[in-house]
Amino acid sequence: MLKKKICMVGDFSVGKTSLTQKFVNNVFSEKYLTTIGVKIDTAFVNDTKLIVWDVAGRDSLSPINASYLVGASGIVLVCDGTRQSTVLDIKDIWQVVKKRIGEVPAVVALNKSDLEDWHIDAQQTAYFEEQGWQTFETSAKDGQNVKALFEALVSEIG
Amino acid sequence: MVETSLQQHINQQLFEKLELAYFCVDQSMQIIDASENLENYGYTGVVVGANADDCVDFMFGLDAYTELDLPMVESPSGKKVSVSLLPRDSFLTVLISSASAEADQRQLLQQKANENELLVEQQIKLMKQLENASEMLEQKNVQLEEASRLQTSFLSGVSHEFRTPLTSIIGYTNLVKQALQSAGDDGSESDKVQHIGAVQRSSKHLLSLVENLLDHGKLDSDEIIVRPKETDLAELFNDVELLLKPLSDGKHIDFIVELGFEQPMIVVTDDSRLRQCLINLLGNAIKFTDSGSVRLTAKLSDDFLKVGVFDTGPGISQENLAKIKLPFWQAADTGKAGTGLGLTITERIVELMGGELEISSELGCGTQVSFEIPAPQLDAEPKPVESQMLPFKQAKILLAEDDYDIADLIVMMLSERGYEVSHVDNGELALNALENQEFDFVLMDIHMPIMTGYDVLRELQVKGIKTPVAIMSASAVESDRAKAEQLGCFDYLIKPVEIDDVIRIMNLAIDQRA
Amino acid sequence: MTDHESPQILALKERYKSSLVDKMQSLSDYLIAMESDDATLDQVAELRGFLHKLAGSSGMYDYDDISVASRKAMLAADKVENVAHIDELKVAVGKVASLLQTYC
Repeated sequence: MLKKKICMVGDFSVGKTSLTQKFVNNVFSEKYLTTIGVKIDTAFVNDTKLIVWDVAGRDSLSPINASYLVGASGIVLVCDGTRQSTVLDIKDIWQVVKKRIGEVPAVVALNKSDLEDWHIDAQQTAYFEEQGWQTFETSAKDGQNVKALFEALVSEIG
Repeated sequence: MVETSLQQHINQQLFEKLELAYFCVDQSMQIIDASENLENYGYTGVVVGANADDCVDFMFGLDAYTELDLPMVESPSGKKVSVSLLPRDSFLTVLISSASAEADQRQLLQQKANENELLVEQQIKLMKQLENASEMLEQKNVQLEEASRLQTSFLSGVSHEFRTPLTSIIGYTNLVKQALQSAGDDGSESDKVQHIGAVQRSSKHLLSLVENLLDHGKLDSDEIIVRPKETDLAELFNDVELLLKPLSDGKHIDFIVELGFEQPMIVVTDDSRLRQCLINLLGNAIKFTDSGSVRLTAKLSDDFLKVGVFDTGPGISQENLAKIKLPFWQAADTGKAGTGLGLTITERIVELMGGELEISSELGCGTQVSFEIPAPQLDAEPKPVESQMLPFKQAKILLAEDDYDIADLIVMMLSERGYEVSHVDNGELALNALENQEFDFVLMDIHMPIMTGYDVLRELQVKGIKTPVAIMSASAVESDRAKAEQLGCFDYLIKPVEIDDVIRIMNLAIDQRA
Repeated sequence: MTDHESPQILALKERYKSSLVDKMQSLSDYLIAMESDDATLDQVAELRGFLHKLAGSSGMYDYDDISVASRKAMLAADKVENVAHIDELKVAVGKVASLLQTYC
């Protein structure tokens, strides 16, 4: 059986934990509970066992702790489609990832697609295309593209 | 040995205090040693010989050579732990200690901090939305203003279109009336004269309604003009009485007019504006009174005209009294037709004429409206008001005016009255004409090419030419008038000039010369 | 001018009315000139002269509103001391132009 470690990274409150929980346990909660440190879960995509590291979000005071990334085969970059800054911050976050573990495969989740206050246009996501990342508009609330997101990453990892 | 045992004791204490657990793996990640308390953190199956990749989730992907600190990892028990990977020569020790206390504290702080930051972001976003909204509102406002302006312009435009033919109707009926009067001195045509009089009064009423609409467009922009001139008050009030009598007769209510003066009573006031006010006020009073009477009183004292309109109508509640002067406001339950503009405009006009409109009323007790305006009295020498009545004095007139729009109109109007008019379009030509020909009267613009009106006046003084000159100028600035008068002009007329005024001044000038 | 009107006078009024388009055009030309960076006080004076004429003639032809608006614009022109500060004049002239437009 194949086993892969992947990491969920992104700004705080973009929905990394929600996406992970939706994917792993098929649950969703509206309540925001910030993640401290890291939470590790496992789930299967076909016959690949994924060890999902749900890493605490980046905020203005604390950067991503790159130690958590060691050994990861792929990265899910998560941002909040209703908060432009979280989309732009992906660029910085990727630098941290690249520096620590190199250019591993990655996919992007533009999360919270169920909300009306959507602020994303092609200009903001141009960087994702340059990087060749598959980008998904996801909703941890109604499950839109959640499975597809992880499946895409697994197939990128190969 | 004691020391060793003390050391062991301390170590033991520390282990317990930090809830320290550990395991060691060789370079192939096989577990070679493990503490028993690993199970406290939910790490089960960590036994010698097992593969760490399989039994400890965080070990997957890591190697035995790299020193690594993993703070705040959630263990299978749900407790947060700190993990330290400490490589030695041939094996790796993994230390696990409780981080619950720290994590709980961090959780609280971080949660607060993040929520705050989200709140700030939300506020910024809201502010932006508000800004956008207020921008949109502003635009909407501009559009509304524009729409209102267009509506007003449209109203003015239409009213203006009405006014020209209406004045023409009034003028022609006047002619017909005069013809009938002179043809039927024996009284044979008196019926027709009366009918024509009725047509004329109705036309004037219609004209006043049109004027109201025109004025409404000007309410906001201070553009209502009051032009005081000599007016026979008695005639004006009689006129208004004749105009409105049919309305009160139609409703079987009494229309009482009490004048504190007799014909003729010449004062200086704007007759058409005063007429407009009276028609508006009396029209309202008659409209809302279904039985009883409407009374109009007017008296003059110390050069002030005091006018009152009293009706026995339903009266106005205190609440409505406050709203009654608003444009287009009409009491909802009266079912009476009208534009709702009359009172608003009347109030403004009265104000412009130097007075104040006062309304007092009580439900069931009728309404009183009154105002007092300056109306300086002139010598009671009867002054003809109708232009047709102005005495015609043969005269040769020079018109100096460079604007052909104005010149052609004045030439036409004066020639139609039988005057001989020559027109020149600059000051130099005017001076030449006056030097070489005899004129009875000069009507001259100020701003002309080559020589201005001032220049011409100056030259005339120098050359001793005494032909009376009336200056016309669009400038209402007092210093301009003073300058012209100082240079010896006979009178100073502000454009637009009324042809009757021109004739009246000319008659005066000719009389004085003779 | 509320007397009866002869066909000749009505014709003159008609002629004047049809000239309003040109007057509006002239005003907008002035406005455009004012917009340029090298607007001069001479141009303001020229505009004032135009407004002066318009105030007189429009009133003679019963366009009281245009007359009053032109007069106001004249006053605004009198206040101009510096071509950099002619916003008030521009607004006043714009008002005249828009009034003219309603009759065109």
